[in-house]
Amino acid sequence: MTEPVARRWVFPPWTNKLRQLLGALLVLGPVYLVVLVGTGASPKTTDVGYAPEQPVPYSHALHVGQLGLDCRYCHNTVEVAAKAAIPSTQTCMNCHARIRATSPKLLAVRESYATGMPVPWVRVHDLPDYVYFNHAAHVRRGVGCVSCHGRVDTMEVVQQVAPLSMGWCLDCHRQPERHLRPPELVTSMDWVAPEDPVAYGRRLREQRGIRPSTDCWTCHR
Amino acid sequence: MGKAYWRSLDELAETPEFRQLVAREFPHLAEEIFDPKTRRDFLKLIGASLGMLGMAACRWPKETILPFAGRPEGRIPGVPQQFATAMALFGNALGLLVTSYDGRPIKVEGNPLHPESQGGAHLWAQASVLELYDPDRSQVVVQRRAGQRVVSSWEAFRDEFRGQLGALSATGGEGFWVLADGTPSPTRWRLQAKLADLYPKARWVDWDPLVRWQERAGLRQATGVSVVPHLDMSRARVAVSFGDDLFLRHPQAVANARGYAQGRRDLQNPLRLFVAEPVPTITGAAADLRLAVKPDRLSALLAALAEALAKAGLQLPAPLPSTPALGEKERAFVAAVAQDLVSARSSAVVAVGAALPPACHALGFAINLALGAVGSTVSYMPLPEVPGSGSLPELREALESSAVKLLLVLGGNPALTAARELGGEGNLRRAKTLIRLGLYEDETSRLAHWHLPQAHFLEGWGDVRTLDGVYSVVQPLIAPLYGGKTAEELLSLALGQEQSAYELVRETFAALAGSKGAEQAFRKTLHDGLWSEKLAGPVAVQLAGTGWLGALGVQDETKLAAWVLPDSKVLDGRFANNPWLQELPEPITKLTWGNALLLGPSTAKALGVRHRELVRLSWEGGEATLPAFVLPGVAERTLGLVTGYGRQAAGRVGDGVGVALRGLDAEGGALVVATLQGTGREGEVVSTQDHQAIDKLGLEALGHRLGELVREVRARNPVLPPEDKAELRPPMPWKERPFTGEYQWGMVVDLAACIGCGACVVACQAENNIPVVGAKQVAKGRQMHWIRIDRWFSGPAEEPGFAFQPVMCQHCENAPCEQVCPVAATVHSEEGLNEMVYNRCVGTRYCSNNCPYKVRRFNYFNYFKNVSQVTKMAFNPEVTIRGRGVMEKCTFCVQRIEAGKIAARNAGKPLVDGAVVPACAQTCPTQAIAFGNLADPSSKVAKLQQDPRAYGILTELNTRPRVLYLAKITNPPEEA
Repeated sequence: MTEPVARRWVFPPWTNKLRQLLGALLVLGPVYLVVLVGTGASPKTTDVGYAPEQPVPYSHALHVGQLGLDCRYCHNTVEVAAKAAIPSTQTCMNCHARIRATSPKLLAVRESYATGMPVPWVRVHDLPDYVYFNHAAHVRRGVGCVSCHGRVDTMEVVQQVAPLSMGWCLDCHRQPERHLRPPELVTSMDWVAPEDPVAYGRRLREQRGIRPSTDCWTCHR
Repeated sequence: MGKAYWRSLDELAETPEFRQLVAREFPHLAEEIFDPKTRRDFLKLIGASLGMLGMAACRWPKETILPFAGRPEGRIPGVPQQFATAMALFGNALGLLVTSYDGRPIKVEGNPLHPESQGGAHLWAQASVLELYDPDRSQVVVQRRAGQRVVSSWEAFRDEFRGQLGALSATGGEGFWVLADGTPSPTRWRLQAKLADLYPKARWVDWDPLVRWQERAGLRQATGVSVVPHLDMSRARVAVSFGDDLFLRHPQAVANARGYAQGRRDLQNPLRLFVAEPVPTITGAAADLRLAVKPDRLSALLAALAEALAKAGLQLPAPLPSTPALGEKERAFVAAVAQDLVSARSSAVVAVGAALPPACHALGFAINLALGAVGSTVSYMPLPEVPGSGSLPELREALESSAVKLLLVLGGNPALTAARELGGEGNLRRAKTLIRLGLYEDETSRLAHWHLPQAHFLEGWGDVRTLDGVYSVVQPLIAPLYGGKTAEELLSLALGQEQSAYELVRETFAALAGSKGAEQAFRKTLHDGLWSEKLAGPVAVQLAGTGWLGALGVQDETKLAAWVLPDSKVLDGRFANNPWLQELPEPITKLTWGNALLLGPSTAKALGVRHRELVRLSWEGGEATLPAFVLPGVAERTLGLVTGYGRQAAGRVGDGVGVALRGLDAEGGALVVATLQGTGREGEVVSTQDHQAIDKLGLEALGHRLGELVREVRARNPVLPPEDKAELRPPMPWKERPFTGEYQWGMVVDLAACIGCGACVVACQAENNIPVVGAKQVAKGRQMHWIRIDRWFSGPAEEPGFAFQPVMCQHCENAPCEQVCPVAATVHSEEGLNEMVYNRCVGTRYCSNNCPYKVRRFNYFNYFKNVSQVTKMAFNPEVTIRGRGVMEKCTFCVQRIEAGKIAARNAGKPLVDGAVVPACAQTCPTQAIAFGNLADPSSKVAKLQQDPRAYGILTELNTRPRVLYLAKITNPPEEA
């Protein structure tokens, strides 16, 4: 046995003092846990209610709620791609070349259209970079926009309504019934199930063979 | 039980060093923890990360989304698109499909429609995307005035260039020389002809050390015309190589490898490969009969074969030179080859190494002609005849007599690769004005008056032609990052026209296609990656002269002979600044980050040189000191050397890596007589050959039956005995988890097809954002490649057999790693994937310790901390960048699996077999890797898992791997 090697793995005497610190740990430990859980789950941490000011005061309440635009008129890649795609300036100008063509609120849009530089929209729903969410996979299965984004048709300024936490995602992946509807009605903001929503959802689920995975690599890779 | 395989001479001899590598997976860890200096650093880091906790409590950073002002039609943000393009290398072209993610090329793959690629790609194509984003690439126009480097502009250059050309045109271009890199581009040839019209006295020299100039010279001597051979290996049933690295350093490497694998799969009449070579290459490793032969005996061997064939009644030119007495093994080799060739006739092919002198190529042609192979396994393609062509010796003469007024160097790096032919790179300075267009401001640029940044092939329009006349447009994937121009644009400037590269290519294509729907044909050519019509066809060739026969001879045999090839990773040094290639283990030696002098065990013993010892090597015209590497399979009294290292102006990655062999360039320097002297000092050799070794000795101690990792069968009876397929599957003490997923992923690796080229390793690195760790870390066994190719030797050390075995995560159904993870960071999915969850991982490394296959990789540092902004553009956004302190490993390219599944479900159709292909399987030139759904019995992978050659490795450990291997097939001649 070579002594110096063995001594490396033996705790030195000063570590005995650490025992006294154990008491302090017993007191502080629960406090730490309460603070950790409390702050971790608070809406402030999860950003529920986050409603940043946008460079253009675009009102979903006006466009969707009053005028009845379908979500997919602007977010037109939502059924085919992972990202729902913020509309290009061209989409805005399809109408606003004529309607309210001189409104000062639309200055940033007209500027972007003239220069070709993008409008810097502020991201509201921000998932961590290690999460790979796919809009198309959800929308084509019949998960309504409302389920995650809330009643956008009533929002003057878009805000985050769901915590977008992993627990929240898994709730639905484990029991998707509550959030399923016929895929052609995903953008309907005020759709209600014709019968008991859970039973209806369960039937849809069976019909369409929806088996959301809870494997890690479904979302993280 | 099969034959015994060993990884290195250390393992064969069971040295204490090897035992230590096996016993301690991360051999250099302990010293570091107890080194007081590193311990302090560790505490510092702890402090810093505590400070970071406070920061983390703040809100996520505000992120903006920048949509297009006007989105182009068909463009969906975040959905990758593929575009066809092509890459020129070795004087040939390889068709590629490049994946573009939101406008950034991030991944290169082979183009299935292109005959040279058929979906496969070599490692240089895979690594080219990193070259594009290299921050060390030249970014500005540079003028050198009286030794001073001055940043200039294209405008300033244009003005001066015009002035110079104006003066030249008065004399018809007297003293105007172009030294180009030999890219086979029809547009360039067109402009070259135009230049000859405008400047009748201008001369054009093409020089690329990778183009087989000696072969071209030999064929001209033999046939009287300028032709190049074009092989069709898939039709060959007997292939013979004399020092030719058919599967890697060859213009048709990818197609050859594909053809070889096809030939091997024909179990009725499998291809048999004979290789005689001085230093092991992957081609020799694939051979059924390999002869290690001293370089200067190769021509004698070839002559002896010709004689044997003539005796068997074949029409060969006479008089054949008298051959020196052959050794016993050489005689046996020649006899076996001759017998097989005579019976195979037109389905045989003889290949002669690029480094051999022209006479050998001429004789190789004569043998192919006599066999009737011409038109079957090999055809001869005409080379375009362009006016005004000169040669390097002529340029040297002109330089030395100060007759060069303007020298335009297009690409290449002649100061490095043509130094010997030019009489020293200093001669380039004798040009009155030297203008250099290059990707890097390298050795040649430092001699130039003007350096101009060149556009990478992924950022500029161009065109290329394969050896057999397939025309492809080089389609850029991104606008030039640094304002570079293509060589054709510079030529257009020289012609006073200043057309854009796109216009030049369109003009060429219009001339080729004529009026018949040129626009439509061009669009189709862009889309498919090749034009439907060929630009050239094979020409009938015959033996025109026999004057070369006298040049076949044998040199002084008692001296040491050096065999010099371009390196199998950085080639002639052009890829020296590519970290993916530098870190890729060389196929045979498993060397990374540098070169060494390879010599066989008995030669080393005779010379008194130890493995890793620094030796001083001298030859006529130069000397170098480099480490020795004792490698089984190197011929006696032979020194294996590679070019491309020890560069001084490559960039931050490549500078000073390895040792330069100045004046020993790959082409003419193949057969050099050298002397060698040991210094007694230890050199730096970073080889991964013993890293991640699987602990067989420990298993024997436990009394288990241990199956060989590499198993082989004879082609006559390609079936593994049942005891080799038996698995140990005891009932488990716990309730086993059922695999309920719709898909059950599995993989099969065919060892009969794997040639060990390493393209999969680079492809995996590009696809999965795998970091490069550098030589020091690799020396500690910390390389991060998710797939490693184990190279095994078998048999005696002087004449070893070879086998390659790619090992990636085996996705064991009963995974040992999962059982020891304290935080459930590695778990199983219902589709049978062994998932690694980076966010849960706390870095205990228990999993790696418990993994019998040694396929898990740990991030000792944040390897992405200092990645430049431009290199970040190469990242695949579909894969997380791993941080410090987490474990990672092969995922079966789960991002591709998920994308495939989502696409299939959205389309309402089941996922078809072959829709999901991992990066390694995609690029494999021999299609050695099959991947798919085991739950579907009709899938390719499910069928292959039932193959009589299929076996799992270390199944004795009850791991139940999802990866199976197909036993290697050997097909040696009967007597052997």
